[in-house]
Amino acid sequence: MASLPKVATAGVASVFGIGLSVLRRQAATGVLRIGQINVPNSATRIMERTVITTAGLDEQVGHITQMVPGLDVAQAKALLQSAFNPNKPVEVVIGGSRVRSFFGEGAFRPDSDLDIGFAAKMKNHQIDNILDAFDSAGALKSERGIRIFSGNNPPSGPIVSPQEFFQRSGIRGPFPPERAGQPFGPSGYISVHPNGTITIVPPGIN
Amino acid sequence: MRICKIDNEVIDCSLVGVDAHGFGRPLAGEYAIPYSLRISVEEVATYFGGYYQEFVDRESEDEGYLEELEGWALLIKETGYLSLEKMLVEQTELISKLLLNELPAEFMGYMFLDEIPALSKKYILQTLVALEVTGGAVLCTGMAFINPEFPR
Repeated sequence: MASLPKVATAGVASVFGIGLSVLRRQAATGVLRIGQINVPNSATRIMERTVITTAGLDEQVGHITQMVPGLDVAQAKALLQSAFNPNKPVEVVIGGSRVRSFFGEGAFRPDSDLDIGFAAKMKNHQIDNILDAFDSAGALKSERGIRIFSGNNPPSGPIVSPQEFFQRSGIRGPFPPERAGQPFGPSGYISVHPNGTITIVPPGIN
Repeated sequence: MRICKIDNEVIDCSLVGVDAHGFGRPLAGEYAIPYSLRISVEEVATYFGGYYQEFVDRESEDEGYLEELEGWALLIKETGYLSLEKMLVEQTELISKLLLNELPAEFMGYMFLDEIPALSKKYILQTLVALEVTGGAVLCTGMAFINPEFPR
């Protein structure tokens, strides 16, 4: 771990000398279950863009499984091994409600899929291969609506990058009907790069 | 030319919208209403031809290494990465499977893309269960729901 991130704390007197992984484990595994909604019991929050340098894929897997609720080692490894295919290694960007909850901003439904984007121009079949590898490695499913990759031009408007996509805010569309027309905020994102770094960006931060 | 039916009743297609980002997610049974569409292939080419061409252009791009293709990716290569207009005439079975299984959210989203946002439409198409290209038209069936925000 190269740097100690700046964090805001709640109930933690000092973070000096405490590694990110310790802090994050507390946040990521402390999940209260209230009805159909999971609420993270986060004691600490990352408040600014934070970059972690790791020794490689295995260490990246260790970190992101502590950050993303419901993501286990087998699925994280399958995702990164497939995305970091030596022929076309691509940066993976994870966002959505599960990541928003990691940042302490809202809850996620236990049946929610994981939003996975790619910071490169991608072919559909390449994305399908990566997401199929992820889905088949465990119980958590990848979101399979509009594909989130740099340069895609879906009906809702161009996606400049997955990082940009996960920082959008606005008004929900008509689905699901029980939340139609409600405002939604950015989720922030966790970006995992083939060069071994992980970039963690809270909601609304550039 | 297009014909829209909700619960087997012909309705004004301008009342129909699609929320492309949520399209395909399961719809709770209490909301679900069956719909069917008949859209001419000319209209499909007009509204979806641009995005389909971007899709084909990406799929056919040389990545500089040998890609091992299978399934639909191999089939569209073997048929020569045809335009949507040609696919709708010459490869009806393949384009039906592609639209149904690979591009449903994009296809339905573009077919009902409108200056009026989906949130202001009465009927929202949510799933695509079957799609067939036949007789110069694309036939679609699936589940829709009534937008609780209509009218705003």
